[in-house]
Amino acid sequence: MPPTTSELLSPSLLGKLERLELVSRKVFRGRMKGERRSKRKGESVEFADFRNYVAGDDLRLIDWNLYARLDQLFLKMFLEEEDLHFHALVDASDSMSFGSPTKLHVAKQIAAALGYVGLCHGDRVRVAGLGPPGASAPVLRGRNQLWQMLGYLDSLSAGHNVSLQEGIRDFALRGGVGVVVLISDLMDKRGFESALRMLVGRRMDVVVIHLLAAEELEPPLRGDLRLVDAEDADFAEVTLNDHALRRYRETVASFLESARSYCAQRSITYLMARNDVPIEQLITDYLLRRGVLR
Amino acid sequence: MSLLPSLVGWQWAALAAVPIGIVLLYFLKLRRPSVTVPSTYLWSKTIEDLHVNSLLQRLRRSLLLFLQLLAVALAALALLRPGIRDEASVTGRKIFLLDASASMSTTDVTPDANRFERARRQIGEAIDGMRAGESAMLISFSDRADVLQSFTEDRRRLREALAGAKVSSRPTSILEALRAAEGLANPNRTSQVGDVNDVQVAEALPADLIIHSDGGFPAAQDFDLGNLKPTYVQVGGDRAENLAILAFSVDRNPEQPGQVQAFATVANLGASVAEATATLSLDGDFVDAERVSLQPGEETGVTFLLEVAQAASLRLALDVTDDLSIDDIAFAGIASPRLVDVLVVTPGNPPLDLALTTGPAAELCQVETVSPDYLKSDAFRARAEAGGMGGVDWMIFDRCAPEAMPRCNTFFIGSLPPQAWSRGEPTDRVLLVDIDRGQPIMRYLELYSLLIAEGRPLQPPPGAVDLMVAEGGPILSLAARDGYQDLVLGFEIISTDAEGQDSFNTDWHVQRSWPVFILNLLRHLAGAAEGASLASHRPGETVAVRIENPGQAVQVRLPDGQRSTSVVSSTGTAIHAQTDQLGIYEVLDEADRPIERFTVNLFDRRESEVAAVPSVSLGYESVDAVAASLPRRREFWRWLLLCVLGVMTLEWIVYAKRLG
Repeated sequence: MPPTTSELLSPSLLGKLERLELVSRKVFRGRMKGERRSKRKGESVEFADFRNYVAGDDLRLIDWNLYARLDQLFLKMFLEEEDLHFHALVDASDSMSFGSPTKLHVAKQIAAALGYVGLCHGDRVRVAGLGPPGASAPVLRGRNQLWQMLGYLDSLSAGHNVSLQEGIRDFALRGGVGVVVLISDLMDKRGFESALRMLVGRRMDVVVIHLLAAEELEPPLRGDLRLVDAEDADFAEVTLNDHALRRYRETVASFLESARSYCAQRSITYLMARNDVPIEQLITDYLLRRGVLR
Repeated sequence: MSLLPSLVGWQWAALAAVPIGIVLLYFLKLRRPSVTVPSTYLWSKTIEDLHVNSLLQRLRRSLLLFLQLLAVALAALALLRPGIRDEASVTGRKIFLLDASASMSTTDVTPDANRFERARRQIGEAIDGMRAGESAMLISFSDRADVLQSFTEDRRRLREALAGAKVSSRPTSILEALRAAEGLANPNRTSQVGDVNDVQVAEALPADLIIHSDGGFPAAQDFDLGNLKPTYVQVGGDRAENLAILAFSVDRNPEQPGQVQAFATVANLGASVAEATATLSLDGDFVDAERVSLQPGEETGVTFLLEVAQAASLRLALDVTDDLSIDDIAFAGIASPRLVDVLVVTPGNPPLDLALTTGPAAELCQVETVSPDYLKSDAFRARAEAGGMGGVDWMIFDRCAPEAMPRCNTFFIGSLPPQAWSRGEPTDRVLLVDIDRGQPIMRYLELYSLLIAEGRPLQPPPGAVDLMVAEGGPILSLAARDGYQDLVLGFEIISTDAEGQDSFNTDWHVQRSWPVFILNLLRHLAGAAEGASLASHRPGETVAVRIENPGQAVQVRLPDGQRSTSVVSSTGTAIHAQTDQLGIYEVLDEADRPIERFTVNLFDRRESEVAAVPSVSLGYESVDAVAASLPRRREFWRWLLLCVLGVMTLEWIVYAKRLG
C-alpha cells in the first residue's frame, strides 16, 4: 500500500518517482537477487560478452552458433541481476537548520525521494542521519516500507553536531557497499576532503549533494557584526561592506569549485543544490540531469 | 624649528582627553551585534583572505582609529605652532616701533585694511618668530610715544600688547619713541663725558630697533642711536592717492557781522590728477559745494560766503575715495561775537575813546576809563591779579604803566611794561620802514602815510614780533608773557608838553586805519574774535579752555557724543586732553549748555603726504627701507590643518567604503 501523502513527499512527486530508477555507475555484488544487473556474469537473459572457453567451463554456456561459424569455442556470458545497496546520509548538524525551508528539510526530502526510488525497485535502502542517529537507521526494502523510512526521517532533527569526518567514519565502519548519497553543506572546519576520501576508499559509488541555503550564498548582512557559529559558538568579527561581501562571494565560489573539482577528480558525482529550489525541480531536473536517477 | 604653544595648561589637558575619548569610543563601537550564522567556516576564510598580511591586517582593523588619532595628533601639532625662523637676531633684543599716526590709516596696502594693520601683522609675525631667550619691547608712536610692553620674553604678553595698539589721528614725531627705546641700550653716564672717573651706570644692552612706519615724520635730529641697530620697514607704497584739506577756517566780515567767510585749502598730494566736490554743511544741512580739480602737487583755495548771525558748526567734506580719508573732512565753528571788558587807563585820550565807541567796536566791548591814579589803588591790584576773572579782558595803559603786570592782555601806548621791555632815545620824525601785514592785528591797515612827530624805538624781550619797524628800530611790538600778550606802541598819540598842554603826536587818529586798528585789537588782542571763529587744535593736543567759574568740573562733549569730565583749575582753565577724534568739541555747563567750543582737525601736510618714504633719517644716520623680509617665522600650522582635513577626508572615505 503506497503512502498517499507526507510532509516530505507530495503524492504527485511520489507518482513521478515510481517511474525513476537509481543509477549506479559501478555494479556491486548484492546480497539478494534483485532487479539490477550485476557485474558478475550470471544467468539472466541479458547478454554481456563473449570469452574464450577454458577447460572446466559449463558447456551449457558455449555459443554453438559461433562455433559453427568460426570453429572456435566461445562462452556466451549474461549479466546477472542483483539488488542495489543504496545509502542516503543526511547531515543533521545545527548548520542544517538554517534557511527557509531549512536545509535539513530539503535534505530529508531528497533522501526520502531517492530512498523511495530505491524502495520501488526493490533495492536495499538505508537512509540515515550522520552521527548518533545513524545507528538507529533501519535497513529497508520494498515500497511498503516507505512509511518506516518517512518515520525515521521525521524523527531526525538538527542538533547532531558531529564532524563530517566522524559521521562518515561511523557509517564506513558499519560497512557499506553500493551507492551512497551524502546530503550535506560540507561546512566542516576540518574539511570535507578526508570524509569523502573514506567513502571513495570503500569503493562505493558516491554522490554528494551539496546543499546550501540562499542566505549562505547571498548573506543579507551589513555593518560591523559578530558572527557566531551555530555549531561550535565560534565567532568571527567582520565589517560587512560591498568589498567584504564581494570577497565572501568569491570565497563561496571557490569553496564550491574546490568541492566540485575534488569530486570530479575522484569520480564522485557532485551536485550543488539550493534550499529555495522546489523538490520536484530538484529531482526531475538536477538529479536526472546529473545522472543520479534515470 | 621652534614651537609656539597656543594653549595653556588646562586647554592642553582637555585636548589630551580627546584621543583617550576616541580610543574609548572605539572600543565601545567594537561591541558589535551578534548574528548567528550556519557556520563561520566561509567567513573565517573570507577574513583570512582579507588579512593576508598580519601587519596590514592589524593596521586595517584599526585603520579608522589610527586615522582619527592621526588627525588629533596633527591638530595638536598645529596648536603647538611649529615654525622655522629665517634668520636669528644678533643682539637677542628687539624694540618694535609701531607708527600709529594718522597717515597709517592709509588704505593702499591690500589685502590689509590699512598700513597700521599691515605693520601690526608684520610685528605679530616677528613676535611669533622670536626664539627662546629673545626679548622684545613694543612702542607705538604718533606725536608721543606709548610703551605698550617693556622688554619681555613672554610672547603672549607682546601679542596682547600688540592687539591693544590702536591707530590714532595724530601727527608723527619719532623722537620721543627713540628716547624711550634707547633707555637700556644707551645708559646714561654718571657725570660729564670726558671725566676720567666717569663710570657707566649700567651695562649697555644693544638692541635691534625695528621701525614699522611709512616714514612720514620729521628727521630726528640731535639723537644718537648708539647701541641701537635700526631697521626701517617701509609700510605702504610710494604712489598713494590723496586729496586733503590742509586748512579750513571761518571768519566774520568785520564790516558785516552777519556775513561769514569760510576758507579752505585743498591740496592734491597724490600721484595723479584728482577731482572732488567740496561740500559745506552748516549744522548738518547742506549749504554750498564747489568742484575742485587739481594736478598732482597742486593746491587751491576754496571760499564760501554765508549769512550766519548766530553760532554755527561748519563741516567741509571732499566726496572722494582716496587712500587716506581722515583728511577729507574738516570742521570749523563760528561763535556769536563775544563782548569783552576793556579797562583804559589814561590821563585823557579822545581819539582812543572815539575809536572804542565806534559802532562795530561798541558791539564788541564795554569800556571803563580810569585815570593813572587808579593804578595805585588796591582795587586795581585785585583786578590785575584776577585778570579775566576780575571782569577785565584787556587793559590799555596810555602813557602810564602798572607796577605789576595784570593777568590779561595789555596795550601800552607811549609807555613800557614794568619788566623785560626797554626803549631807545626819542627820535624826531619817525619814518616807518616795515609793517608786518601777516599779523591779524595789522590787517586792513594802510600806514605808510603815517606821520609821527616823536617816537622811541623799542627793545622788546626775546621772541617778540615787531609789527611796525621805523628807521631807529621797532615801534610796535607784540610779546608773549605767561600766556598773555603785551602790545607796546613806541610813540604817543597825544603828548603832553612841559606846560601841561596836550598835542597830537601823530596824525594816525585822523586816518581810517586808526579805528580799524583799534577794532583789530579788540578782536584779536582783547579776545572778541575768539568768539567769532572756534580755535582749531590738532589731534592729541591738550586744549586749555578758559572757564568763568574756577574750581568746578565741566563736561566736554566729544564729537561722537561721549562725554569726559575736566576739572577747572583755580586760574579758570579747564584742561582737556582727549582730543583724538576729529570734530567739534563742546564744553558744557551744569545745564548742558555749550559755554565753549573748539575744533580738532588734522591739517597736517606731512601726514597727508601719504607716499611712503624710502629712507628715514634717525639722528645722524639715514636708514633705508628693507622689504618686509624681516627675520620672520615660517609657520606650518596651515599645512598641518590641511593635513588634518586630508586625514579626516580619508577617514570618511574609509568609513564609507566599509559600510557602503
